[in-house]
Amino acid sequence: METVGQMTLSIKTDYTALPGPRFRKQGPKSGEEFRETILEPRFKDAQQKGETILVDLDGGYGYGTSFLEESFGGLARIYGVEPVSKTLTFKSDDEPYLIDDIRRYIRDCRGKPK
Amino acid sequence: MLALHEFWSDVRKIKNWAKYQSWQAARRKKYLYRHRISVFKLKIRRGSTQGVQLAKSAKRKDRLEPETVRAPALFSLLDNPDELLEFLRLVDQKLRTRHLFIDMSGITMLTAEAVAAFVAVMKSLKHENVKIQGNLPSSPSLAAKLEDFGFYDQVVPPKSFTPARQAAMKGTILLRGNQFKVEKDNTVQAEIAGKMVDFARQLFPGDLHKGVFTMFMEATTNTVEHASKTVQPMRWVAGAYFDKERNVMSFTVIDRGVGILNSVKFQHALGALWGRVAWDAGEKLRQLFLGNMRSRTQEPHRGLGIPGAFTAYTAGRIADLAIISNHGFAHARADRYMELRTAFDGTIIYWEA
Repeated sequence: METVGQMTLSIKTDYTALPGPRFRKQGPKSGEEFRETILEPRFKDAQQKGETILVDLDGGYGYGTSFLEESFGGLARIYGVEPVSKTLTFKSDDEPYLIDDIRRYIRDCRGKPK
Repeated sequence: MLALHEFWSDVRKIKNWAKYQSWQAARRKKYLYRHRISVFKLKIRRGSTQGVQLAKSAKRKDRLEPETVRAPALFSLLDNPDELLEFLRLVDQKLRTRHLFIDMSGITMLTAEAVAAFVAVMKSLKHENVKIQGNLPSSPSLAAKLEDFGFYDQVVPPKSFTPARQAAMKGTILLRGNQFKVEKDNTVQAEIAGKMVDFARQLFPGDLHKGVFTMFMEATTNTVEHASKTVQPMRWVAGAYFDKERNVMSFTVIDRGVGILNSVKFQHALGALWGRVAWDAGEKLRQLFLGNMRSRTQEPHRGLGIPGAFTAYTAGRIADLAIISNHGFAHARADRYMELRTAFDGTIIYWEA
């Protein structure tokens, strides 16, 4: 449910129902592509407006860990753990454990940004 | 080749046997590199094949009688990995030089994952002019089962099929009795994973967990990212099949790359030392399941796929998980981790829904 000061980003409707691998070179619909083309612009937009983004993970076929790590962990590697944790909230009725997994990827993101 | 004067000047510099050997090795390596030929072809050129008659070209295979290879009685990857892998190795090795006749008459037990592995190995052969013949298992029920798995549709060249049968096998999707599906690629294709899941959903009576799609992505990413020695991605072959007897949907992803154990590193220095000293290949795979080994990329946020797959198994999102790679065998449901006598050059990832 979208509230005031909150944008919604549905991976299925805004990107694909069949999320792919981590990097573009590995195959189509990658986490890297999702982060660069969809997530990052929305994240910047939300930060400028002081809003949060509700990321809806439902409706697709499922997610590989690399896709989620590169999308959300990758974003945290660029913009920092705290801003990303504060800006992004998640909804997953189909696979509720994904929310904890993504939070862990954001928290444990280390290494250089790609 | 070296010019004669270069050769003699090099020979004069060699003072002892060790130096001579290392010089010979370097020279041979240089020769292989210059002529871009494989060690195998070099052997054929020199005739050093230990008395075994080899076809010197792909076409000459046709002049020789097909060689018979007996399939193991227990044709199961999970219950009899050593014998089955030895069989697959023999098939792969002998097909380089001869046409084969696979004697399946002695099979007393047949499981779907072994058939999938056999099909995948045959689909990933790189040899030229391959012809494989074979017979049926003696037991009529096993022969029917093999037919039912769609084995013949996978191994018989489509040219020999009737036009109606060829029409039913359009594209890369091969179906028989709506039970078996094989796909192959060298990139991670979520679309193919989606097709596999759709195929499984048609047959599987229960609700198929999304973990199946996730597993497919993990397995193929693992191949594309880590299986190749070079920058070229490695091709994977995937099979999905429905085992009517056990009411189980099974999936297999196979690659013929370097193998998982050659592409991961131990997480800590102590682990690395201890691992080299005390862990066998099975234990290494167990440690990989537990997340104690990591990707060769050395990046801390990478290498989440296989531990994630094991977590999916322990959380009940998939019903079984097995990995066979190099000398390692790991079967999560049976809690069986062991070192195999015969290595598999590549990785087999098997899971059930």
